[in-house]
Amino acid sequence: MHEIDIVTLSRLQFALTALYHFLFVPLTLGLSILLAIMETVYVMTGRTIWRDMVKFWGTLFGINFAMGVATGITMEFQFGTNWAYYSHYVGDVFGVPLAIEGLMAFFLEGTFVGLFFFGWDRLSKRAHMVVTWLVAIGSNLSALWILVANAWMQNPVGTIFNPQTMRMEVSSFFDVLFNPVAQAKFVHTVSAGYVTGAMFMLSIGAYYLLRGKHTEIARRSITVAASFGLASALSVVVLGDESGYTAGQDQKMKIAAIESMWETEPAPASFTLIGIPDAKAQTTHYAVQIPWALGLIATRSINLPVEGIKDLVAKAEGRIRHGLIAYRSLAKMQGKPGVTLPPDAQAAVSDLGYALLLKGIRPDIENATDADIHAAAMSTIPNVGVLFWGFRLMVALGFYFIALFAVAFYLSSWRRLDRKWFLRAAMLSLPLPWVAAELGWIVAEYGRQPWIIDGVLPTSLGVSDVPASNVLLSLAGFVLFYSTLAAVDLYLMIKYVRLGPDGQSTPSVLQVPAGAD
Amino acid sequence: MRPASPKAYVTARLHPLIREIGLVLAFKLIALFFLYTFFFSPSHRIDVTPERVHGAVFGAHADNPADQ
Repeated sequence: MHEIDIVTLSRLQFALTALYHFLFVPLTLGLSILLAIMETVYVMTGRTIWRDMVKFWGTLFGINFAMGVATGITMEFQFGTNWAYYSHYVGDVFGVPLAIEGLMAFFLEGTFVGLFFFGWDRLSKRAHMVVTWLVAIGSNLSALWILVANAWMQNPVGTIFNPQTMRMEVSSFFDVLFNPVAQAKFVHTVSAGYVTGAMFMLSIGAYYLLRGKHTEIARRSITVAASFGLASALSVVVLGDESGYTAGQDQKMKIAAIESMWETEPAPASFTLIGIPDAKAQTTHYAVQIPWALGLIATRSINLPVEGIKDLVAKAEGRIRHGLIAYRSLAKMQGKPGVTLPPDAQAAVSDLGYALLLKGIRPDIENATDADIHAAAMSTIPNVGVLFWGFRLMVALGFYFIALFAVAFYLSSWRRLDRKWFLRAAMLSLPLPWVAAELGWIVAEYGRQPWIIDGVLPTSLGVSDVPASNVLLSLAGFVLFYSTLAAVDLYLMIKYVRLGPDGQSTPSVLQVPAGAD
Repeated sequence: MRPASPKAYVTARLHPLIREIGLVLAFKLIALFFLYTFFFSPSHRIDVTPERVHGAVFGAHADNPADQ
């Protein structure tokens, strides 16, 4: 029987929990802002229908928040148990933004979520509106710190390796915080969340209009969702382009794999719109290309080439050889405090991670042959097929969202929201932002392989040597736990969407009139 | 016993959604507790020290003849 190794199991478990957790995050990010906008309209106009809208969508926001809360804590469990070497090696860096997220952003968000639900009859209109905005700001700040941590894994800046403690240490917190990858990822991710929130309102509003129920609230909700969604969908594409540019600077292999680009593309580089990637033959069949587009995305120029996979593998071979110089010197330093590295080894420490790729080939890596070094360099190629198709599907969905929200904006502006074809399309589009968001994460994290910290630490060296049976059993536990939660979440969402704004939740989110229930 | 005023009666009863969410949160807490206890508590973790990481990264070090 084929045995799954501990690295694959640990990765699978982390991917499952992260992807599941991210089912809740984008809706929280988007709907919190939309609630704040609608409540601001209520405070400014005094029209109670806007308050009713906030209460109705707030109920659904509450279900999503309650279902999602603490689903991410299981990732923290895994850091300590399954990824102990990773946690030691980079915990000083990675732990800081996670701690700030927990202490500052999550408590801000959590505190004001409570006030949002319990404060309707206890706070003034303006104070409650401020609370709603603070919920939205807290949610978005949470995302910022998580993405700062994640971006450091993609582009590890502002740190140095300390061979005495065997860990990466922060040399510039400013560089970690203002990592260009973090900034690009943050705005791209939150705007994807705004699209999700807008689609949620648009789809459920369309469902009500198709059934002729709650039409006043549905029309207004669609109008808000259409304008906010259109602006957000446009932002996602523009800001995603910025993510492409940062990857083009710092993660060239990821870009080459997304493009299935085996040969270096001379300037001005073309973008492969569609094709059939063939990793075995190292080519892309039937490629349809857009001239200049990749050059503009990856280099912001038309006179710079974009490196292909084969050239990047050749460069990786050079870096592995260079990293071996540092490896040999560091290996001799064991148990000798105060010994400093010779200058040539100090210069090679930045390539130590590349030398460590050889650990996947043989344990005594200082005796690696040319064939071993070539095999290690080849391991820097991520799964081209997954990245190629995942990226294109995500981008196609992004452009579909622009088109759908543009039509919604047009129809709501001209008061023609009775078009059944549009309402059906809007309703059926409900799951698509989640599909796009999950694909985005798959492309980002699968494209980082074989690194857990890009260029610094191979994934296989971050895993703890715990029994595989433990990871397998806990993985089964997570599947059971998350499947149950997903079923309950769907049940509650469908139940309260069907009840609608006129249902039991209308008088107050938390109180029910006598006789109800 | 029925509360004195209608308002008190209204606030004394929980909305079904609150009950449902309360149940889910309780289930979640219990599930997380068991997952943590059986798979992720300190007894399931390895003790990571600089020496151990050094061993994992530089272990099986063999002197290269070229280094002599």
